[in-house]
Amino acid sequence: MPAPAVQARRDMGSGTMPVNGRRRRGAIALAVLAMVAIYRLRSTGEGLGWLNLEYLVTALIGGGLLWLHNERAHGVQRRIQSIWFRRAAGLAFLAWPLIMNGITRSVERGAGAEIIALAILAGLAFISAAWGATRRMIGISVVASGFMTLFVTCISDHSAAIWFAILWAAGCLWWLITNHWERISTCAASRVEYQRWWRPATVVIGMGMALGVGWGVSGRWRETRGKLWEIMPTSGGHRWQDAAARSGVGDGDAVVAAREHAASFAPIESDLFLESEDPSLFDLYSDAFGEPAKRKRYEQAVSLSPEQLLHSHQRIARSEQSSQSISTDRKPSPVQRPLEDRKSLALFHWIGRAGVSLAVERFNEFDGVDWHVGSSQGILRPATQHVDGDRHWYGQIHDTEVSPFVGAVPEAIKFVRFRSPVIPTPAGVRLWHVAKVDRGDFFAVNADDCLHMPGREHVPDDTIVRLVNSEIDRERIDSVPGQRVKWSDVASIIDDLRSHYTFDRAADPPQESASPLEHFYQTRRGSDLMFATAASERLRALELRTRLVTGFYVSPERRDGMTGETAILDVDTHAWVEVKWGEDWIPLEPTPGFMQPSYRVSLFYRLRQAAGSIALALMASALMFAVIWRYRVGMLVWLADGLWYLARGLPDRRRVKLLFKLLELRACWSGKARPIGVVPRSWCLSLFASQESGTLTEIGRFFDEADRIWFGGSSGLSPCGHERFKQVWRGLMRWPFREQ
Amino acid sequence: MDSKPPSRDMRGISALRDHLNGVLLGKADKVELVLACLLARGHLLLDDLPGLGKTTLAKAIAACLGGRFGRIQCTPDLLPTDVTGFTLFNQKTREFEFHPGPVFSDILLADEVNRTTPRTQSALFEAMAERQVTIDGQSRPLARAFFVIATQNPIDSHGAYPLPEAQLDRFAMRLEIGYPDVEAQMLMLAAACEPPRDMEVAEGMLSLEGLESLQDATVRVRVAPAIQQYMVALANASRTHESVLLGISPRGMLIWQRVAQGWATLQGRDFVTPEDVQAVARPVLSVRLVVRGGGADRVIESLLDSIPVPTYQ
Repeated sequence: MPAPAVQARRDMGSGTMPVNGRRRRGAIALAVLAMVAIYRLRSTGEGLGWLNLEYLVTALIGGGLLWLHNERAHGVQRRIQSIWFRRAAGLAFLAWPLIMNGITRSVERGAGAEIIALAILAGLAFISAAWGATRRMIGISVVASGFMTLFVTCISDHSAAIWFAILWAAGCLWWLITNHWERISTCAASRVEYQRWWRPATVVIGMGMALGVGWGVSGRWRETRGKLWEIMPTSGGHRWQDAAARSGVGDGDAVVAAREHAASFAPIESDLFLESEDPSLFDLYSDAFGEPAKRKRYEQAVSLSPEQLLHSHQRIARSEQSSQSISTDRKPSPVQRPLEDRKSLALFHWIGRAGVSLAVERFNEFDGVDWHVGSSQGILRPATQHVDGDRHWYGQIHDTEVSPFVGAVPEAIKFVRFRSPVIPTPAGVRLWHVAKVDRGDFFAVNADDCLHMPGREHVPDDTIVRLVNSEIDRERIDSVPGQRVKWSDVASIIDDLRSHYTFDRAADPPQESASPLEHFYQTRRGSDLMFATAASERLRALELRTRLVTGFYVSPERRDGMTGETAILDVDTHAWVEVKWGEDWIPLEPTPGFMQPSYRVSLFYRLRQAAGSIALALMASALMFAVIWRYRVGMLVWLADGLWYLARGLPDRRRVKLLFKLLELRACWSGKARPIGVVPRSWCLSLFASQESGTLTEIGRFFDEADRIWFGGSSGLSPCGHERFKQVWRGLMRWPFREQ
Repeated sequence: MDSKPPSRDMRGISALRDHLNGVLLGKADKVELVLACLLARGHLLLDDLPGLGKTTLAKAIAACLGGRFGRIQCTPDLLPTDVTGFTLFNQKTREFEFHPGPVFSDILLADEVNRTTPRTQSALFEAMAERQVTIDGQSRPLARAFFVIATQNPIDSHGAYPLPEAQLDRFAMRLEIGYPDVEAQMLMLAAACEPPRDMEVAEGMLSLEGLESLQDATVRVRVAPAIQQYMVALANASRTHESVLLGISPRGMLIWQRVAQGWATLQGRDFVTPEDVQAVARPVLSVRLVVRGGGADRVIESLLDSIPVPTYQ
């Protein structure tokens, strides 16, 4: 056993010294700052309601964790400080972002996996700061929170994010100085004089220097701009022009930056120059094209004279020595990734919500077999122009107070190969914009609300169309005036089709079938066209106006999670139905396997709906709880009796433990919890002091038996102990504690 | 080995308890603690005002056990040899003869121990701790049941030599007997009106051999690990308590455990419970804790309240 001083020095060196409050509080504050920075980052891309709910619960659990860690805890606080409870609370704190993400993904779009990982890491930093028993744990927490704050600052698009990094740096500097100043000062100086102003002045000077350096390297001067790129090499991700970014080489940041350039929007595999079978410079760096072929020297030397061969060898040797050779002759890749988009007849990329359907054609009339375009659908309506800075937006904004289409969702399409003049758009498109196009007659809206490029054979390749779409507000659907049919009836028709019929694209009706719809109802199987037709017919039976829509489905399976882009191919053609609801056409998705249109739903609406649907269950639950509360003592006694019999197989020691816990629980419910410093016998005798002496004697024997098992090493109760134990214990459980 | 003491000895200690309760009226709780101290082979410091029965209690114990009783009236001119004994050259036999001091007794009453000089106090305390004395280079063991009851008067401190903390740690416990209640005082007055009679030893009273047997049995009383953890937690808490200047030493913890074992023996048990630890905590800890501004009892209460008692979990 080392001497205390030696042990203390070892502890200090190994970082296992106990942690003082100031050090812990500082680390907690830095971890909280990191969590706030992550919140700021997430608030730009996620629904604020859910995010606020997540952080509110996180704050509550975090506060509970700090409260649990109080070493001077007493009463209830002390009782729930058990290691299992603390583990459960810590696990809940860490798992909560994951759980919330699952919930938000089911109703909205949620967050990316890397963002959730950041949130969990921030939680770990917080727990390490709150519960860390050693200085090393606190140090790890500070490093983790610093990493996250700086990382979030780097990836954030918002310029104000830099303030998180500045705040964290200032806080960390202060934390370091307050916790390590003595060690530094006593090590470095022969005499130490403490002055009150010196530490804050050091923080201010340090921060000033850091800000100055940051200001210098943040692109203010041309020289530092280049240096910064060397420090953080990137092919994009910033607003400066970069040749590599413009040509779309790379991924991640490169793709983000390259969106500004038409030729680089969308994944590189689909870019135009890949349409050529000839190798390009890019192919040399692509794994898809394999390694350079190593040919034997004599194969190359067949047609060369000895002088030429010698000269060639010397040249090749010099080139290989300096690593400047590159071969266009390459071995075929062992695994060729199938590029299905190259074979597709239609190809365009969509950046925006997954699971939406993009309309190309709409049909109004159905003759029992075929759908036809209505007579008025040939009319083109010109688009109105809106200028926003140097961008010309076109669209048809006709907001009304009763329209279910609300909000503005920025989305975009890049056409790679599309042989139609119609621009596929989701329902509720409001504005569109193509770079450098400032002519209103470039676009027109058909009477079926499809967006056209009139006078063109098809949408030009490489065209990027930026869209501002709107979402459907579920509450507004209910409040549209003049509707005799309830939306729930519409929804039940769709639900019936989605749940009782099977989607099969190959299930065409036989040629001799007079009515494909009848065949669909009989076989309960069909293509999306049949689902849309059936839904339309049923809705028309309710005297609702409907129309069939064909277009493309943005398949979530093909969505690139990193970039948020989805390649749309000819296999994504899809048919669905729209219903006239008030002045607007609302899309409906009757085909199973395709996502239903997402509705914007407020939390209040959800709660109201839930309250309506589960009101009965709530009332029943309330009644049940009231009954349980009224007869809680009796039920507890029954439970205790039952447990006594059920626990007969257990050793007496375990039975005593189980029953004493129940007794304590019973007293705790009655507000007579045992103080931690009072032995059970004294506690019980004080509770029942007004009882007869015989009862008190029995209680004393009850605890004699328990003590003998637990502290006396006895293997079990005495022969007469079982009955006595049971009787006394049942009496204790039945006793009205509250009245004492 | 069976840790249960013989029933004869248990009856003997019960008779001793009854007798002492008859001598020291209305102080059954104090008598119980004294007996626990006796079974734990500890030494007792009675710290109280004059005339409260300290000497009477010591004499009654000695009389009941039937052992040798020694008494030292501590004064400033008392010498160490007056306590331990001395060697004298006998002119007739032409040999050195050892004349044992009062420490060579079974029950030793050191009255007003704070009145004698530190030098003499040290001689006494060494004998208490080592249970032997060394005179002229020869070690002489004391009686196996050697039990010291020291008294001191908290008032009238002029000319007194307060016992240092290191010496106090030699005592197992400190007791304040306190004034008897009204009923006990009435009984005392009534008994004083009767003719004086010699102190009679009842039949079946605990003998010195019986006491040693009980003391051996006390050593074997079981202390569960949970109980020991509880004691360690209390000791650690005493060392970090904001009001405590000097906490419980490891030696103090050992004595505390032994007294708790003695208390358990008195209750007829062969195992220690948390109640035993708490029952003897105040007299055992009050002799050891050095508390800022006094009030050791208050600190002990707060320690016992703040550390969770081991229960059936």
